[in-house]
Amino acid sequence: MHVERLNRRHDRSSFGCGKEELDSWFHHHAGQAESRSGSARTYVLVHENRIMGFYSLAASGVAADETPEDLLRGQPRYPVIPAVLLARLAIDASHHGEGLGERLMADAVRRVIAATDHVAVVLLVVDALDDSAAAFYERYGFRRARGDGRTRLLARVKDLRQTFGA
Amino acid sequence: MATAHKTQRLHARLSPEQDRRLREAAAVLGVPMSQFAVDAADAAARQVLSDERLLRVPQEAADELFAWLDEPARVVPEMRRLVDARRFEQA
Repeated sequence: MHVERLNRRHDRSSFGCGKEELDSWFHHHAGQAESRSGSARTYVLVHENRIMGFYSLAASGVAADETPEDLLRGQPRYPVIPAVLLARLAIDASHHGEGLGERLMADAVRRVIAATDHVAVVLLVVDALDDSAAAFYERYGFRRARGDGRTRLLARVKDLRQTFGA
Repeated sequence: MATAHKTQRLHARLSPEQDRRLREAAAVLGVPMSQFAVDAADAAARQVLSDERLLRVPQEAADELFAWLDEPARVVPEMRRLVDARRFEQA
């Protein structure tokens, strides 16, 4: 079992985690995001040529809403905080309950830490599709962000580095 | 922001004050008011969509967020499990 960058030779169609939004993105858009638009990097967990899980990472930022007065003065009060977005992470339904999600998340976190050796990033943001996903990340110390509708959780990169001994 | 096929219409009501302001602004740029309104709305829509990846935090939570970022780095005990998790090989 190993992790590698998504490429054309992977058969994505047989993957199914059971959540339509994730499966549909992986089947129809992951390839395009990887190659054409370059908007996300997707990594797949492969075992004997079968995809057992995936996650995708993209550059992101956290921005505080400005007051109309600050905006009109053209002086935003808060800088945009550079972040990496762990947009999706999923395990094939036939392998749920084996602890693969936790190991794949650890893989993603290590990859983010490695990236931050070269590019300054302050926060890791995860996008949780539903309450059970949010609870999953909370178990690992991610904090819920107050924000706009979607459930997003945050970890500070400096804490990740400290925790992982990077 | 010219679009190839302008087949759709947008009807909108606005206050006399908004009407005056839009006409004035359109006149400054020397474009018809309808074009000004559509271009401005389109630009705002692009902004919203391009910012989709940005996490927006309400103003009242911002100070708390920045205060948290200023705190010194710490080991997150809940993440020990991740550190200890058996690693996958990298291809």
